Amino acid sequence: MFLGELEKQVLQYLWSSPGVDVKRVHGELSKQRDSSLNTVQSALERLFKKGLLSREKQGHAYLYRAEIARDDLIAKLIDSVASDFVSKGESSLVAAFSSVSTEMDEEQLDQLEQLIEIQRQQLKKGDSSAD
Amino acid sequence: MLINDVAIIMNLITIALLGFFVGALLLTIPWTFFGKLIGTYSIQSQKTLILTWVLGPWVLGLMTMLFFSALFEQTAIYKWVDNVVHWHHLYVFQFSSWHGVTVVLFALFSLGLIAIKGTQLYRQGNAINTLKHFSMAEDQSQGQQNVQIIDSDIPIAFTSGFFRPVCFVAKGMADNLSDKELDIVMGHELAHARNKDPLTKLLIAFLSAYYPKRLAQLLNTKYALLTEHIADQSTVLIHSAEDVAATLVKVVRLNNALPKNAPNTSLSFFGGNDISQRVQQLLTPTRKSMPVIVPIAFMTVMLCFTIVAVDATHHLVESVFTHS
Repeated sequence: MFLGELEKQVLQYLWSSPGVDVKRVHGELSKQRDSSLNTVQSALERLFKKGLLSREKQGHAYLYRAEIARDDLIAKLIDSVASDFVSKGESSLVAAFSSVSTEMDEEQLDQLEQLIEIQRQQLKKGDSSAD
Repeated sequence: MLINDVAIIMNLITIALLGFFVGALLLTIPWTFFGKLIGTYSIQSQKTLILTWVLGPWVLGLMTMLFFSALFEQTAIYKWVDNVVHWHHLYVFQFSSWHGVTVVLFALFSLGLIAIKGTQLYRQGNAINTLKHFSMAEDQSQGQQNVQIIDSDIPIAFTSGFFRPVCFVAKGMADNLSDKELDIVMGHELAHARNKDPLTKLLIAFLSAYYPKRLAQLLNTKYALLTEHIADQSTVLIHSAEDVAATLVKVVRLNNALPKNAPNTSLSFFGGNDISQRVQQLLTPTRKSMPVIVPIAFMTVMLCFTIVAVDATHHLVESVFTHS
């Protein structure tokens, strides 16, 4: 998923103010950046085509609202950061603390925990016998 | 047909490529027989061995090229090399010959690779910037590294970026861990950033892209797992190995607790075995060390073989083309 700077700002604004027309979006964003009404309109159009916005006609204007929740977009972004670069089977170029593995079931995790517990107890025994 | 200095350069590139292919083939033989034994060595030794395998053919190709070049012309080495092997008509190069085809194919493959990886890198960079934009944008300094908090319930922590790696930790991870566990996770991620693991993984991915796909995947996966082991090891300096292993299992459990249709379920970097391997490595680390002289001596022997094999291959192909 590729988002330009203006698209990010538009999306951010629509999360806090849903159901607004292009003039409202332009009015708000012109406080932060120098963009023409047409540029903002194009950004809204692109976001709509990407499926990130929905719109409904009211009078002569479209009212836009974000189609994707902020949390869902962040989840999607995390996903593309992790998987964009790599083809299947290759390791990712991000270094994550743990793999989110669907292969690892509860039973296997229980076994690993048991292994860790056994090692803890052995170390405790070793310490107490040393005392 | 080129008959000038450019022809010499083109011929040297052909020699380097031939050296690369012969080197890759030669290195496959010991890999087939001894590849499985790598896991019995210490993590640092494993890293040296994997790097030898990834970089080996490139180094062998370049060294072979140097030995055939005029660089050593005044030395005894050149005389020895010249007695054993030689490249006919180094100053003549024809693009329509098999030499030319080899160089052109290599150049095209490299350009394609750069274009594909470059586009993917650009897209990934954009995703990271967007993530920074929508996350809390909190520049929390831990030591000299950047740590970015992501305002999301997903329990994830990762490091990304090539020259100035940034550690990302989602609130979903921070909120579900104790202070000690979070310290372990952050220690692990900061170690990735210090070691510039995203960059080294990129280089390994790029260099191994010239190998057969299965071998490339194997080398990339093994190298990625080693970076995890090394990052785990750095946290063991402060916390007990058992605590680090337990944190790892807890994080996997947190991930498993997510609904299966959550958008991040494809965030799978390794298979399930890798978590087991990391826990095993933490609890009973492999300590068998391999002296650095072993890979160096091995590569020297391989270089001699490659130089001779490049000459033999060259003559063989030439005779096939001449007599056919």
